[in-house]
Amino acid sequence: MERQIEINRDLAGAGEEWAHKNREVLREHGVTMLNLIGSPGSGKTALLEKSAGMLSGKMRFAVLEGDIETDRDAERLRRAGVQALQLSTGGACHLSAQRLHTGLQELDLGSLDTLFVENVGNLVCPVEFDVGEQAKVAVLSTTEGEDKPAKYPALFREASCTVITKTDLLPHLCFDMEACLHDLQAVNARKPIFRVSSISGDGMQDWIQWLLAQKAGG
Amino acid sequence: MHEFSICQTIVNSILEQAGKADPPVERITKTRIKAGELRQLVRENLEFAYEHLTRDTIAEGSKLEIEIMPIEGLCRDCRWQGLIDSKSLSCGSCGSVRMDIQKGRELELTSMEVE
Repeated sequence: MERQIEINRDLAGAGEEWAHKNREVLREHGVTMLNLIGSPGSGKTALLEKSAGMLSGKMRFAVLEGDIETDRDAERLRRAGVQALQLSTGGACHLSAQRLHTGLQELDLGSLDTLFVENVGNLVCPVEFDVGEQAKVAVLSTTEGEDKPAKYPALFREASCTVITKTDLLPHLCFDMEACLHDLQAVNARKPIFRVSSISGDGMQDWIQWLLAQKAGG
Repeated sequence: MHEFSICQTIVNSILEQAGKADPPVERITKTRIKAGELRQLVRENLEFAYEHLTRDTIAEGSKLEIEIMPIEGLCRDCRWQGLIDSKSLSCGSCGSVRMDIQKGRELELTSMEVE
C-alpha cells in the first residue's frame, strides 16, 4: 500500500554535532581554531610557513593539514619548525568535523593557544562544513585572477578575513586589484583584507597582528 | 562534490525513518527535500549521489525531489525586506550589500513516499 510519511527534519545541523564537540574541546583548553580555505596552490602552506617565523615566541600554535593524499604539507611545515599533523581525507573534498576530531585527540592542546586548519584545496565544499572553528580565513592568490570573490561568493562571505597572496607576482600579472577589492567588499563588507607576499614578507605584519588579536579574543 | 556528504545524511535519515515506521516499509519510492539556494547544491550531483547511495537499499530506484528555496534578506541600511538574488546578494530597494540573510540556508528532509 502506497503512503506518505511526513518527516520535516532539519538536516542543516546534522554534521554540526561533531563541530560542537570540537568547539567544546577547544574551549576547555583555551585554543582558538582558524580554518584556512582556498584553492589548491593558493599559497596556504607558504603563508603558514612564513607566519610561523614571525609568530615565534608570540603564539603557541600547531597546524592540522587536510589533504586528499600524502603528508607532504605537514612535512613542509615540520621543516619550518611547526608542529603539524596530516589528516588525509581519503578522497573527500573537505575535512569533516569528525575527521578533525581525531586530529584534536592526537595533539597536546594544553600546550597551544592557536590551531590552524589547512583545509583541502577547494573554494566550494569546505565552506559548507563547519568543523568547529572560531573563524574561517579565505586565501586567494593573485595568480587565480581577481574574479574569484564574484564567482565563489560563499567562501568570501563567510570568512572573517581574506588574505590575498603572491602580491610579489603582481608586476607579471593582469590581476585587477581594484576590481578584486570591490567584489570582496560587495560580498563581505568591512571584513579585513590582507595583501601579502609569503616570499618577500610584504604586508605580513597586518596579518600577524590580526592573528594575535584572534588569540586574545579567543 | 559536497553533495555526496549531504546526500549520505539524507539517505541515512530516510532509512532510519523507514526502519521505525509502522506498518513496516518495504520500499521507499520518493524522497522530498528542501534546500536553500545558498547551500550551493548542484541538482545533478545530488541526484547522482542519491542514486549511488541508495543502491542495494530499500530506497534503490526511488526518486529524489528537490525544492530549491529562495534567499531572503533584510537591508541594514533601509530596512527593506524581501527576496534577493544569489549573485549580488544586494538590497532590492537601495542596492546596499549590507544585508542580513534571513533565509536561504535551509536543508530539510520533508517527506517520503513508501510502499
